[in-house]
Amino acid sequence: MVPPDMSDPLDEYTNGDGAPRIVLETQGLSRWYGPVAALDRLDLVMRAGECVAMMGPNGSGKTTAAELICGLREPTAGWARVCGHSVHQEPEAVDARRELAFVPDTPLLYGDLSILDHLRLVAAAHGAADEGFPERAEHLLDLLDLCERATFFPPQLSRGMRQKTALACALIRPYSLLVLDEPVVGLDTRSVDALAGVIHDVVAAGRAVLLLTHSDAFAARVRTRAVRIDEGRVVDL
Amino acid sequence: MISSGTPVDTKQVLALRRSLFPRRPVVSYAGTVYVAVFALGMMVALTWGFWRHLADLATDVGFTFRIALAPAGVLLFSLVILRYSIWQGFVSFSEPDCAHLLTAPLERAGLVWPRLRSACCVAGVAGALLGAVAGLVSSGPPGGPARAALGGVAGLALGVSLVGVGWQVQRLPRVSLWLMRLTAPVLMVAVLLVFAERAGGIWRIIALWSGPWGWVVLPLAGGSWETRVVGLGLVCASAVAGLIGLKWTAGTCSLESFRRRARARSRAVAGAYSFDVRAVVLAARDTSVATRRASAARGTSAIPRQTRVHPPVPCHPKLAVPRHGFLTLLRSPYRLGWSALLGGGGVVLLTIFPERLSALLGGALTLYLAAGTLLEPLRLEVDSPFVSQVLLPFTFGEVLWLHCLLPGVILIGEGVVIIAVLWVTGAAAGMAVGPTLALLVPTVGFTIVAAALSARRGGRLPMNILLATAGDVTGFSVVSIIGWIFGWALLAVTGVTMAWRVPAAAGGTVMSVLSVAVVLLTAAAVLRRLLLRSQR
Repeated sequence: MVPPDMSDPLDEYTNGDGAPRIVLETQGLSRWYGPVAALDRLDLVMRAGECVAMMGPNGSGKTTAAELICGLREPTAGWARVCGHSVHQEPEAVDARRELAFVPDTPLLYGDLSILDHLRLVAAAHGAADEGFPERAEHLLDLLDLCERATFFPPQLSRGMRQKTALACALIRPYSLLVLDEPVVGLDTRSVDALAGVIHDVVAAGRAVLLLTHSDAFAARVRTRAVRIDEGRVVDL
Repeated sequence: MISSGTPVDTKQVLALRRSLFPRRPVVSYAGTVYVAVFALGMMVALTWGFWRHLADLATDVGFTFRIALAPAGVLLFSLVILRYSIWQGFVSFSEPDCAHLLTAPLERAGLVWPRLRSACCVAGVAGALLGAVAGLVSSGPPGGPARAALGGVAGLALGVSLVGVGWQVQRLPRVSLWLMRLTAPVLMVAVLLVFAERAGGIWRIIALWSGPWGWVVLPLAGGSWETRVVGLGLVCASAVAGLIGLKWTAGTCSLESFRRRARARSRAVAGAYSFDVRAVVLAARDTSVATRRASAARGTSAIPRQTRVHPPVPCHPKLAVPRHGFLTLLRSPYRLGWSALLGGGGVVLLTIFPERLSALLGGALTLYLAAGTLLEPLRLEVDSPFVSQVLLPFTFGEVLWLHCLLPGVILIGEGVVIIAVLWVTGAAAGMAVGPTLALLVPTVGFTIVAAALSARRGGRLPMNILLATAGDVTGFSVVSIIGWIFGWALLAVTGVTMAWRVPAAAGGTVMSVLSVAVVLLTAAAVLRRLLLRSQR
């Protein structure tokens, strides 16, 4: 289920002619470390309402791809655009970041901020700290089973709960593309089911999800299509 | 409904961030300041006492201060600051900040500029204070407050300029890479500046006008008032250019760079809190490697190619360890360059100026640093002590001792070459080659084993010292920590200095050289026994 006031009309995510609009486009996106290619010429187009599962073994370049798409790393060659905005060119990247939500495989949280304060800060940083924030936050915390720990600090949380806090931080703000890097690692079965539900709702609401995982079972539950990469190259699109 | 196009005010977000974090009580700041001041005071007092009592006379100390206030000193200080910018710099964010604030639709310049502004203020004020003090303690026209004011303005401008250049080093991996490559040449330029300063006349004028390091000194270096005004104008113009550069480029640093620095700082802080010097060094080094990689990602060929040299598998198992060291050296040949620079410089200082205690101390120290540079394979062995247990049929102590052989051979080889060159060129007139060579071998052996003993402990403080520091209010624990970290280095430097001092004082007779060589060899043998007793 998507937080109530994030259920935007699908019209916003179409090109006007009914075809879903392009949310993510990469061309020749590459990252080399000297002679080693962490990612080699990734060409990918994602449209609104899609959930693309990017799968591959350890070290295949999934995380590098996600970090390049989210602007956390600089590409050696190629480019990435989110909703038509370059991810790596400032100040255009500001608009790209407005459409992006990223959940890394290792949650990075402030040690002395509670879960609720995290949500408050992230919402403010994304211009979403409006009068509807308390309701959205409560809904999200309820959805992710964090309600009773809303005032807890990260050192008081298990790894799975910290992962869910990072997920809540991504979902509290507006976005068109949600990038999830190994989201099920450290989550219990109930939380995995809740996450699958969230992804379904996000996709149904006309947003796009890029899911990076090597869990074929979880990917099969939520994906609309899959991309396989190995040694930095797309082997199956 | 949330609109994804809602503009966000960076200042409001930063204000909210500040309000969310609980303020630390003043007492906790006071505790930190007390510990920092106390530790710094102890270190300064120890260093000063060591220097003052072992240096020849007050002339040496005065000479040191003159160098610090000369172009060479400014150049070296600037190099240190800029090297710091390679792995940290003046703008840093925490890892959560990188994850939540820098990925938000906020203008990057709005997040970076306040930090740059603060850095400019702090560096400017610190520079002004140092400049004013330099103006007061140095002599020459104009006197009194005017001189302090001139020094203050020059120091302020230097501080702001360094922030400006440091920021460019921080944000541009290619500039960082070039700074790493140019470090050794800059050190050589600093040495040339020292010689130029001492030579006086036209050479001193060239040193003063050769760059910003000299322009800063110009207002206090005497000469006409026009010279002082032009020097001050040049350094102020550098500061203004730096400020303009900051303003223009504040928003252009990549998130990747900030994340790399945030991770490195987390590791370094964790290491510093446990007094783990090795962890701090590794954090800084990994950032440098990452900088090289980032530069390589932009098309600069910065990653060294894998070596294709495969030395033959040794016939004796004991040679496997030096072979491993040799391969490690091939993969990072810059270590050989640094060891040649440091070891060669050390031998030059020991050989040419045996009558000057400060030169002997400097030579012994650089020789120790050269040994430390070449002993990296030993440190890697200490980082993973159980690898050799599986692979090699030796005790840990034997493995560590075998790691000392190759560095010893390299340093002795470098020393022999340097002495030969000095002898052929006549640079060390009156020096007896035979006794010097006879003294070189035990000196290198003693230094290498002392450096190995220092490296074998790893970085972490032993539990007994940590426990002693917990409830200590006397300050003795600070001394024990400093002693633990620098003990072997002090022993090596003191030992080598005294060893080279004795023959110089005795007129370089063969007997005195042989006596000292025997003493050094005995000391090295004792240290070797200690090294062989090392446990995993």
